[in-house]
Amino acid sequence: MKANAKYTAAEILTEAGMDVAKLGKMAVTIGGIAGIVSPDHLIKLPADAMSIVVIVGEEKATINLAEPSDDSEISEDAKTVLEENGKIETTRIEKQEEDEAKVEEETEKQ
Amino acid sequence: MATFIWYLQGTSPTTIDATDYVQFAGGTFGSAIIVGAYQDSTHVESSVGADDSSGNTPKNNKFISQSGGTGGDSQVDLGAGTVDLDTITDAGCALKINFSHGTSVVTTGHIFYAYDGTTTTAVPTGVTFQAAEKGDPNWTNAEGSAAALTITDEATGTSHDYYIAVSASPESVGLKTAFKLRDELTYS
Repeated sequence: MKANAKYTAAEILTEAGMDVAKLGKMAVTIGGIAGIVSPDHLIKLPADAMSIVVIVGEEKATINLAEPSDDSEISEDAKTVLEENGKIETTRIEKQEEDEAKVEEETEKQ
Repeated sequence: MATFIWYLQGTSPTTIDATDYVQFAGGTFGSAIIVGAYQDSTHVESSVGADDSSGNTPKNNKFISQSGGTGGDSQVDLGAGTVDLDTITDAGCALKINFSHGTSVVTTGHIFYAYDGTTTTAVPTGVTFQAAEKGDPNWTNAEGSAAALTITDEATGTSHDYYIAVSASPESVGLKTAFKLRDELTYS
């Protein structure tokens, strides 16, 4: 894992040797971010981070990070989550546009 | 102490001060955008109307489509033709926001959106606004706090950089000023 990169919580727990199934069942803190309950939770690691601490219940692990790339990176799993989120936003916008078109049509009829 | 610094990126970054405007324009500073089209250039305008970013070749992120790219990806024009939005680099994003703190903090609940300048839940007046975080495959129609762009939580550190693509389109003729950009986050 690298600094200046975005990962899912599941990827980080796996890298730390923790059980991903404990998400939502035990208190999980990754890189200081507490209350993580979803494996799809996206976490960006800052460019100057050297390591991150992962805490699951009473277990604690430290992941040492590789040197960052100049351009921030996104893992394949994180990209999949972003694709899903993007589809949800696109659907929301399409629905909004449909609703606005209906209102215009109704206004024109009146 | 917590500090926010906004930049319009370019060959050199232009700092966007609290009293400055982010100007979305036609091809040049101060030029109009056709109603329904998106901006061809982005600038930093001072409170007295000067072009603060004139020497910095500022970046521009023009909305092309919501889902016309590869596999339903959005599309953007960075000035050299249409590409998928998720191919944009950190340096290609028009906006860079740096949040720093004297001690290491995490940032969560981070949102970015445009509003009418008065009420954060209200959409900007007469403007369609699109935003995306670097790596997002689709634009977010980020108008009003309820429709805000969600920025990824960032693990602990003293300096956090956020790269955001922005694009705007006028819905009617005339200068649009009931249109402000807002960034909100929780740090702990």
